[in-house]
Amino acid sequence: MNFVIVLVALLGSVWLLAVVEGWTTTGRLRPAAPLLSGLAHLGRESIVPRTPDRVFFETAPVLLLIVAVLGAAVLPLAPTLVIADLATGALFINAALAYVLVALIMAGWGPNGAYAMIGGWRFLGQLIAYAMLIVMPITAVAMRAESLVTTVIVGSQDGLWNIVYQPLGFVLFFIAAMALAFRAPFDLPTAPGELGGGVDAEYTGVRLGVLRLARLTLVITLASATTVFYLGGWHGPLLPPWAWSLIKTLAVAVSMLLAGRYLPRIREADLMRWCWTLGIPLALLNIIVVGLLVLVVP
Amino acid sequence: MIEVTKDLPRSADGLAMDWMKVPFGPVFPGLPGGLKLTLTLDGDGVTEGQATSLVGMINESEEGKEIDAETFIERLASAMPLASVSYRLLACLAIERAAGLENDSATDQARAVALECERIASHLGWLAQTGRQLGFAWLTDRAATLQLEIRRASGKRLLELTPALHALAARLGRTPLLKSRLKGIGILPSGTGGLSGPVARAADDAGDAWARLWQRLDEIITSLDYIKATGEPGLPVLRNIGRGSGTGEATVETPRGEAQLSLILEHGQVKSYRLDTACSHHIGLVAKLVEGRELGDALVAVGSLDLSPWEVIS
Repeated sequence: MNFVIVLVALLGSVWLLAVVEGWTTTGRLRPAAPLLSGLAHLGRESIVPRTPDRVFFETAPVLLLIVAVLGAAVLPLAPTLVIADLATGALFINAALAYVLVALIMAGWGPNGAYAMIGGWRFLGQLIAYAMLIVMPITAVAMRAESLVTTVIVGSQDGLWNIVYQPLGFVLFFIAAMALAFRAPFDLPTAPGELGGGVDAEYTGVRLGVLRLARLTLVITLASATTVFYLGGWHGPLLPPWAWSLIKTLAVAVSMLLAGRYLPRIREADLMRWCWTLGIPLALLNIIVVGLLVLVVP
Repeated sequence: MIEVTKDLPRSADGLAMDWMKVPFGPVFPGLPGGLKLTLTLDGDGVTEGQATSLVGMINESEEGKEIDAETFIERLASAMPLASVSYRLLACLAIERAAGLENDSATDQARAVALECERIASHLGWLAQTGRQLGFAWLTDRAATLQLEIRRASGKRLLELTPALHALAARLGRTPLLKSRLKGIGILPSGTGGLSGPVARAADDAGDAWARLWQRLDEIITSLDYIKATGEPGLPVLRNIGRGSGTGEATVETPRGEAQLSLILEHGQVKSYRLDTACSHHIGLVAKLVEGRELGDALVAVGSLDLSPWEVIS
């Protein structure tokens, strides 16, 4: 039952995010647009490039979607509303998200096209830079909760959310999450102005529809992870727990969307330099500060 | 491994890689339509590149075929869709000079205002294109909206838009990441000849994409000040030249740089002409700008030249 509810919540959030995305792009609020766009993708010709790596080409969009849903499986909407309350939930989400890279490399290599391939390799380079900024802030979150169980992590924030307890970790995780979801200004693998769509460039029809659905689902999963790790998960007054989780998740997802709208795409070299020389030392500092707080403050 | 890579070209770091020749354009989101950029890529780096226009004019009139002066003006203006007022003015001036007409200060003033309006609109169009290239959606939307308003605006309405244009410039100055994206990109080697327009004027400063952005923003403000001091724009219209004959030359500072036109007029018909434009020279700079750069930087460098493929004369 939990599986169905979480899946419906995930789809509903994706739909809302797509509506907001359309609103910011066209200036018109059209609730039916995502559905119509999806149907249009189903009806369009799905072109296969010449001499593709067929397995990679076909698998990549589906793999990205599976990865996004797997990540969401360990993120609770309410104390009992989680698909899998694993003892290693925080670790599992890291493992699941690692496959985003695999999916994008496959989407880049599969079509046998230059733009897609550069996009895929770019994401690999990017990952080396920000992967630590996903893992290290989660480590600090788990230190405070003294557990990797995501429901326990939310429980540890009763009274004081991690965004206040470890604001540095929140900033680093939020930025790295945007990069992992390849949202602007970190959209280097797709970069319409540089690569004509990059890893998306050779996909059409239903395959492109799945790829877009997967991208939006990934954004929601990462926004949900931010909510669980830093924004107190389901905690909040008056409304039921699941409602707070959804509201916070959507707020984070929309802020990811808007942040990219008002910033130019970051240079690849700058992203890597800043991650290595600034991000990782700051993430280490965050772990030390949280460690001291855990020891000093009961 | 050595067997596999022994004949492959070497990157700057000594690694053997497969190099790819990749076309960007003639229809590509980050470049003006009609411009084809061919880059040889070593991974995400550019080893060499060249740009060609697929829509530029041919610099000669058809053998023995004379063109009516009015038709010539229309053809030239419509052949340059990104600067039609500038080239209309250029053709009018050259024909009027060939016909021996004296300058008329009122007409010149109205034409100059129209030229400055086009300069503002053109620079805003470039900003919108740059926003598209950089994935900066807000800039694309804002600059494109202002460009449309400027194109439709009267002199009075233009002045009402002044605060919005100042606000745009101020906002760009405050935008995080923009400076780091453009600073140091697209610097031309010292002593590069053939520069004109904003590219040449920005070369006096840092000579990079960031300097070119601010040069164009400064020109927008300067043009607004000129319009404020002068009056209403008047679209260049050919004065009565009768069946005049002679040789005429004219130069106009278009939004992308200097354009020169010389022509021979016989009995009110253009017999032959020669056109020289800034973009015809600037397109040759692409190879120097892209070599050894990362792909993203190379495209930004090319974009900062504001090449109009229609204004490349072959």
